[in-house]
Amino acid sequence: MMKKDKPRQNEPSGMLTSDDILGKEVIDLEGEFIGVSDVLYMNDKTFDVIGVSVDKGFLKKGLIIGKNYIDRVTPYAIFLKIKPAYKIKGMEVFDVKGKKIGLVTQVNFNGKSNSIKEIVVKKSMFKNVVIPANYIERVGYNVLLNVAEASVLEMKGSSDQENNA
Amino acid sequence: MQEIINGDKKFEDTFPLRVVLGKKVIAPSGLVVGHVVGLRINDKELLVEGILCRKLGMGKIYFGKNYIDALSPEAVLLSIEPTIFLRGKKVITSNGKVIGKVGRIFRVNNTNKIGRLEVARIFRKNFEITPDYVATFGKNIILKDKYDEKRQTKAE
Repeated sequence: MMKKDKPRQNEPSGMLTSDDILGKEVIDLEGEFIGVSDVLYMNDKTFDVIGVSVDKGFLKKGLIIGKNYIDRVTPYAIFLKIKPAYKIKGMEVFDVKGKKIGLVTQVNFNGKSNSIKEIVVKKSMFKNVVIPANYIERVGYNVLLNVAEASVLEMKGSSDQENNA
Repeated sequence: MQEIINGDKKFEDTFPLRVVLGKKVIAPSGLVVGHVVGLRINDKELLVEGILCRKLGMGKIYFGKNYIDALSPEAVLLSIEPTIFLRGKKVITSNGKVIGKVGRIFRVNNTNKIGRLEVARIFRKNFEITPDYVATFGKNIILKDKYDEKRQTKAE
């Protein structure tokens, strides 16, 4: 974790440098550590900051967070306004009565935003179910739906195994 | 089978309590708190007063009915996030600094409400904070700005 260096002389207040942003822990809305910021992206014409890349760890796929999802940059960390939805992958899915439906194998987003379009749930070895986002009641440690299993089983299945998450 | 009831629910609208045994107990966040190992009945009112749940590493936990949202043959759904599971979570200031981990949790009587939290630190003295200094209870605990202000005032 990078500590804040001594203030440089004649440095204008209310501004951040790349040193203030890079190498910091990135923490989501629930206090979970996502990774470490490693690259800063800027618009090459306007020089506006677009976002920050997060190194999630060894052999883990990278993540780019847009600046609109960043809440604040502090001396020790970057806080996000969101809980990244890709973390849903691998969670258990329970219906409204608490019955386990399966495991999330894939998360499909609306464009490149953090908004979930649908999740693909592996119900059994040969059956996947695609559940639209409006059936998701809550996401925490696992996913809770607002419908019963019977409604879920009527939903369209999916054989698409491509990992979009 | 013959039913003898007087304003009570019909037999087919009920389910045997034994089917709940062994079922998961799930908090609103989806956290699986444990499995049901027993049900407790009020002998006067003949109502379920609470459930006994067991979680590996935590032992037995008894939840009163006021903390149970739904009880079905599939699972037991709680209406609360049990605060006893905060133990071991990191405590982070509003500046992003990790100042320790949650040690002991002092609840108000036997309720789920937190009275004080002990923050445990390695090679340094533990200290306690109250919930009004906490901004977020999530995967970890994030403190409010006023905690840093308080510390600054103390240091001065």
